[in-house]
Amino acid sequence: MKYPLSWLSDYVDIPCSPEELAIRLTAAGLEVEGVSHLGRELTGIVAGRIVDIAKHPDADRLQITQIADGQNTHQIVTGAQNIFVGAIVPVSLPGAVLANGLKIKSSKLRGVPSHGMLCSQTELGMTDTSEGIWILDEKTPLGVDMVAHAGLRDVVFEIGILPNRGDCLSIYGMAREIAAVLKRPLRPLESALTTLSDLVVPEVVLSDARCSTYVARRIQLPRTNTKTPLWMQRRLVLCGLRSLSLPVDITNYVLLETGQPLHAFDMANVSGELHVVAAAPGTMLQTLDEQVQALPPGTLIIADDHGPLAIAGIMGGLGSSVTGATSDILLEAAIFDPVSVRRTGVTLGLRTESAIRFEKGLDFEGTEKASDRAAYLFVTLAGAHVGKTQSWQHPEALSLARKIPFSFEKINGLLGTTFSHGEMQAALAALGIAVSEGHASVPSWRAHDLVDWPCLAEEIARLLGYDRIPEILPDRWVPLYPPSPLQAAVTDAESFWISRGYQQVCTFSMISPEDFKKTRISLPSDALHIRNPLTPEASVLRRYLMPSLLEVAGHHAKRQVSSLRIFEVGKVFWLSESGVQENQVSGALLYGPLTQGHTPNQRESATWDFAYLKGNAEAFLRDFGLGKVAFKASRYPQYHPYASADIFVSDVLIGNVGYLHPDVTETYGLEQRVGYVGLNLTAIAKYQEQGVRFAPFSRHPSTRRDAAMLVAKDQPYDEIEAAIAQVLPKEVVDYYLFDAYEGASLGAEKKSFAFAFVYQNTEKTMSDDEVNGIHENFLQQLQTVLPFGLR
Amino acid sequence: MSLVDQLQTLKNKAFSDIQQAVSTQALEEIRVEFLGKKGLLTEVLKGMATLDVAQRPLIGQAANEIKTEIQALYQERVTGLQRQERDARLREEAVDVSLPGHGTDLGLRHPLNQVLLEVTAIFQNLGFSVQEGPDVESDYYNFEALNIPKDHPARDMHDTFYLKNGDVLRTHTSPVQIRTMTQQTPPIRIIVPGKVYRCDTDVTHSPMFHQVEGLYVDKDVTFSQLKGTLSHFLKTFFGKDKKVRFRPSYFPFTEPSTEVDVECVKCEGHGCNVCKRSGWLEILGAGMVNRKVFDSVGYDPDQVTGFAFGLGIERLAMLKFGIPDIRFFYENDKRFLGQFGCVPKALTGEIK
Ligand SMILES: [Zn+2]
Repeated sequence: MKYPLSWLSDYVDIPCSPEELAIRLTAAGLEVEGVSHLGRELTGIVAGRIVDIAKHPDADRLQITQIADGQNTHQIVTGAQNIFVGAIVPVSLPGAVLANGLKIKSSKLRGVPSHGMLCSQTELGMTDTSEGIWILDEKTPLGVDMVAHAGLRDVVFEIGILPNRGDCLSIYGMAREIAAVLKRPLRPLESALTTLSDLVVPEVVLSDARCSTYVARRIQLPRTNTKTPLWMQRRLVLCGLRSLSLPVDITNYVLLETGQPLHAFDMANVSGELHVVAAAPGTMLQTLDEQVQALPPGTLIIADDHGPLAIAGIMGGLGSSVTGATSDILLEAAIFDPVSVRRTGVTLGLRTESAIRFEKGLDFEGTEKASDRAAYLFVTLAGAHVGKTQSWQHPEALSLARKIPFSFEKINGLLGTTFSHGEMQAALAALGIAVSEGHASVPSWRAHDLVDWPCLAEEIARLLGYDRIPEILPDRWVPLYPPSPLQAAVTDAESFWISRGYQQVCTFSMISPEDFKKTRISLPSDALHIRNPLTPEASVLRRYLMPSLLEVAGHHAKRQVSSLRIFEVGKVFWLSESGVQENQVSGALLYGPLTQGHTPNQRESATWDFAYLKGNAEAFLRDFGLGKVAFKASRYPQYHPYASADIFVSDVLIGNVGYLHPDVTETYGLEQRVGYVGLNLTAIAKYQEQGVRFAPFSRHPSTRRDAAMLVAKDQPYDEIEAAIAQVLPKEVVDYYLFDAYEGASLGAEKKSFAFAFVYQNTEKTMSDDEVNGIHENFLQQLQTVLPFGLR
Repeated sequence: MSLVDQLQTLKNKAFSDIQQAVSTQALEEIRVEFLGKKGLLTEVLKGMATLDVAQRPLIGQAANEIKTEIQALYQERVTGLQRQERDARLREEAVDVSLPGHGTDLGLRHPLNQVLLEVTAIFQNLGFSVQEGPDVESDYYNFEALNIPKDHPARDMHDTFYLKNGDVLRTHTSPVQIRTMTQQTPPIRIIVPGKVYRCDTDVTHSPMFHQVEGLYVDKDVTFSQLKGTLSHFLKTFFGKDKKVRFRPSYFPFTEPSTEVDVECVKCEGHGCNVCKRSGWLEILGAGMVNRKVFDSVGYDPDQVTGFAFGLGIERLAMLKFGIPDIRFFYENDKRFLGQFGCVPKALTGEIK
């Protein structure tokens, strides 16, 4: 909210500079977000009457005016079009300075001398834009210093009010805080009413507990269309409101000043009793903003015998609204339920100044005070006749407790301080909080907010200064838990891909339904949809990581990046019968050469194929201690139909690897082959070896024997491996495929796999004869399991 | 020719051949020629049979001497030639060291992940254990249990994404406080890194971002310990000479509450565009755990107290690296990500 210094100063003396006040308020939890000095430059602006207007002889757009300031007459040439003889306008005479710092000098305009300038509101720093010269009220005294007269010089504080401090959403509430912070007395609101007439208000029926208090009073104006004084207009504008008519301006002014919203009904359009009730289904009301609102059933409204007059706490109806022509007013000061006002305001999209204040909870003793203050202003500014207030309370309305437990020791204990009782008590007293015998009494305006003793600890700490609280580190030992297997798996997976040259990326958990289509996956029925997405592109929680990585790859392909290796470890989401499920998964994607090379050898070694992807996956899984892994050819729409595999650990599917389908990659603008490795970390962490034990190994020399097996061309490799495993001698400590060959020399029907077998005995060095014997025996046995020729 | 003369001639020939040999291979041939089993020396010594028995030892001795001399010379030449040959081979292997290297591609950690790990490590060193929780939360854990009932004005501070099944995308990592406290008993000292979501997007707001939450619950935990812990963190992360400021604030789940500012990293407190002319950067929200939160997890608020804090990783990373727009983090452009390599970690970098 915006707080003009002049207005605050009505209620508390502020001896320090605005900048220092800003620092002190911020330190007390009232964050000053801006301090604007308005009209600091302004000087030499007076009110003057236009006594003559003549055409400029040489310029169509200019006029020559004669301005009387009560003592002298000045000739001023102007381009303004909205002026007329008799108008009183602000005039800057030679030597004056405008809001933007411009100095006024006598000059000639197209040959005609001009001694000053007629001013618009913008030139005086009143508004950001304005149309034409500011035409002043006809009663404005000629020659008056406009800076003082219109309150043009002021300082406005923009202060962010925390949600629990509704009491500070008012000038008076802020003045109260300033008084406490600066240790200055707070002056009371002027609202003494000497004579009250016996104007009668309609009977008010409170039939809904959401209105706890309703205070009504009649006000009659002897004249209509009384102008709002400039100082009041100015303060309203400084706080971001527009001046409309005196009755409306006074209710707004009192709202800003006291924080209690008021509503003025035109008595001429109120008939019978007032009912504060829940709206019946189908209730319609045209509100002040001229919108016709269909009120949700149950909306709290004020209605008379004919129908709804206002939406309680939010906005009045157009039909019963007051204008400058209103002469008989019914003034409402009520307390409505914060939750009810908030719900209605959100539903109807109406966050009015009034609604904002009701939502945060009002001073439940503030209704009469605000009504009196408004009545006082009607009397002093418009000579109004005002009646007594009449007040209704709902019998079931809840009252707020004002006594809370209090102990100096507990507060020092919580804060870790040694504040003296005296200074704590003084700080609370400055805020209107009285302390006695283990209890504290909270003032009515803080009853929503101060509900337990730690709240008082905060009040004491912020007034005595958070900087007075010492800084120490906790010294008690608390067991430190190692990361969970899944947490460890996430960091290990990240380190693995980074070490393999993959760049980590970070993408949104929310993706587009289109992303499923682009990856040829039909949108699964268990996908989680966001009810209020910012954009359709981020409206479904991702079920797979692949679309996110493809998006990043496409981004680079569009920017002529010829090779890329990226990975992400992140969550995927779906809905199961037992609720929302989340898995941590790892996705790695690559296209283009692994690295740049400038020789044939280098270029050769930078290529990759399916085996490279599979090798990445195998290394990854070995890192997690998962040795027994099976790769089985797979068919998924997003993968290459003949170069992709499912990865199984103990018959559980834990990932996929392969080339992506060109139909998929092309939709992302990727022309080259794209490889992908997807692994489910949540599953892997479950199967991961827990605890590693040392295994001894032989220190005797090992011997290698090779065997090149000639097999049918369509012979799958994994069957050979399975056969080997069946008859493998225990002396073979390792074996591996070192050459897979197909060629004309073997014939069209054959291919060759050359294996190396490493023989080693844990006890002794094996002799050649011994190894030869075992190896030959092994190969014979192997041929009985799986027939093959030896090369 | 006498045997002695023959030996002398043989020696001279061997010496001259060895001297002239230009490769280790040629030398080896010469060695075999003269000293081999069927070599010239053996041939000459066959003549010994014709000699006097008395002369034989003398000739034998001379022959041995010649053999030793030839061998010594041979060895000397072999060593020399081997050296030359290796030098020649090495010369052939000469490279232009200014040619580009091969395999320079590098995988790097995403800058957000780097900062997340760095922040987590600082708190781990203070004895905080890492805890995590789900991204999709119930309204209860995200709001209700944290003393943010329905229609509470504080819900305005959270632009919440709602799922069609009624859950929410967590707006903060604070629900993990509740989950941990309901599963464990005090003392609890945890740090919670994770992704959070708010429907808001501009230069400094992203609909998904990262937070780190901390919680310490025990007997007699004080606000002054909260201040000590957070000052330690900020001085470790930003530098030990940086000023730290605690301001009163409001969060429904803490009381008293505070926001913590650190002296601006760019202008050192003089005021600039980064700190919006205030000289301070708002980094953390924190406070003493509200007694109502203890009520909701079944702790007796008269027996324990605690502090909690939360901070945004994106903001820290933007300040640390001078990144002007939060959207860079999620665009994942190689030219952006490639800039954040071996980043000195505050813990090792700040010790002076
Ligand atoms: Zn700065």
